[in-house]
Amino acid sequence: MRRRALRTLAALALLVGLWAAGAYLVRRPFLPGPGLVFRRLAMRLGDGSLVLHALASMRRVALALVFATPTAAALGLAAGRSRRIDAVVSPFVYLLHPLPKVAFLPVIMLFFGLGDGAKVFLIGLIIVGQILVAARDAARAVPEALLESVRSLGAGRCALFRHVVVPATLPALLTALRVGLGTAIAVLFIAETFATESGLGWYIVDAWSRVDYPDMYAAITALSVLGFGAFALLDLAESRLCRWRNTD
Amino acid sequence: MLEFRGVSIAYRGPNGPLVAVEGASALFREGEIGALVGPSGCGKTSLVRAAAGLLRPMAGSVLVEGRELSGTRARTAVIFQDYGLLPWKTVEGNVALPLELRGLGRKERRARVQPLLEELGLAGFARYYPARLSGGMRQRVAIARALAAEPDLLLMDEPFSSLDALTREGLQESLLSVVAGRRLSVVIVTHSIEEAAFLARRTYVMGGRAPGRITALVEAPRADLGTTEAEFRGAEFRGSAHYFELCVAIRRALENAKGAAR
Ligand SMILES: Nc1ncnc2c1ncn2[C@@H]1O[C@H](COP(=O)(O)OP(=O)(O)OP(=O)(O)O)[C@@H](O)[C@H]1O
Ligand SMILES: [Mg+2]
Repeated sequence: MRRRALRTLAALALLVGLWAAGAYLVRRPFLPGPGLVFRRLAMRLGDGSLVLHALASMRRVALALVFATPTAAALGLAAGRSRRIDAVVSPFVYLLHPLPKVAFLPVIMLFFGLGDGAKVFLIGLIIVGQILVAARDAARAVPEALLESVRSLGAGRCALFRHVVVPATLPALLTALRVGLGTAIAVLFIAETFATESGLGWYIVDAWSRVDYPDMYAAITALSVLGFGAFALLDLAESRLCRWRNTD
Repeated sequence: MLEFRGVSIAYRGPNGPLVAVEGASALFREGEIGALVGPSGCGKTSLVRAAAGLLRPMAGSVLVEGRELSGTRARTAVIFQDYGLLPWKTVEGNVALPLELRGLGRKERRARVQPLLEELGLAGFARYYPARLSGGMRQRVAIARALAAEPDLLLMDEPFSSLDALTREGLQESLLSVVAGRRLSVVIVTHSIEEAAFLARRTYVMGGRAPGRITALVEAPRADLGTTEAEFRGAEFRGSAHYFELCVAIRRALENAKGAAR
């Protein structure tokens, strides 16, 4: 754990170093150096303007996750373990999963209005698909022998889910959540460039149009840190919830 | 007590039903260890699953404690070759699982699990996850878990076949001492003639393949009056003439079964 944190820190230092070298070599206003950007970030965080936008972005992603994850996980696990449910769910997944859902943003906005509802719905929609598919496949892959051994102890359907299916699929679910989160943040950016004046996505595009590059990079950095924080949180959850996998 | 009466088992195959076992009859008596030996594919696991109520025979009936079976049963415990333990539960959690499924509280579970862990030499490993245990210890945990359910029938499907010879003999001896103190019928499926001869009072020999049949019964001599089963099968048993004769008898029955199937 300690070692991994150190290695991550070293990689970060290298990336910032490359950025600084690039900025020094290119010497153009659209690539300010990390020093300038970090100072601007501190300033914007200090006067609170970026904090509000970051909170708005976080709220959208968090709401989408809270609605989408349990629904998708439950439906996916059920489909993975029951042929009948799978027969209903899978054709829809098969048809809808490859659709570029971002393209439906205008339609979603017509239905849900211009507020946060549409953005949360779009992000949620994309996460639902990813988690559902992962949950279904993971539930299918639970070894039949394991299920049978617990069934022989007198476990019913509910107990089987609680003691076997959920813990067996948890690592795959967390991985899906991690992938989903990456997508969610990308979609968040796109969604925030429409019909809103809050959120880091909006702030980035606004700074761009103001030709205030340090401001733009400060907001990009903030969005990256947000994404990284969420990843780290998921890592923590995994090492807590899947302690049995830490064999060292 | 477990009885098979003319049990036939079929699976759905690609070209219609596949009959795995045909007309199997056998009786495993209360308080005894019985064995089921036979070559791979003769239907041993199928019979175990039928005895556990995990599958319904196509014909015939399975009786446990004199009653016809119609599904899984709380006092039947099953131990499989592997995959029996849940990797995400500690040794203690695995052993307590049957009690948890019955809705017993944490305190009560711990109180019942602790003596079992001690009995099987696992007391220091309560908080280990199965991945960190040796194969032999894992099967000890599986035995402890099976006993936690306070079964009257214990079914074991090749429980020790992936262990090295010494570990295996240690576990066989543990099994004997575990059974000695309980009112428990045990059925052990094995490939090993020696294992059947060492453990079982009665050994049913199977042969054939799709369908497999029970072709012979080899009975061990009764312990002399006044000696217990455990004394009879003490440390010297493996070197005794009794044991050697049993091995030969089982081997001969297996060879006959093979010849008959051809
Ligand atoms: N779930 C299943 N579906 C279809 N056929 C099966 C199934 N399980 C077993 N069979 C078939 O039934 C026959 C008996 O299988 P079974 O597993 O009972 O044999 P076994 O004696 O336990 O073999 P082994 O010693 O290799 O474990 C085999 O021909 C096998 O292919
Ligand atoms: Mg088998």
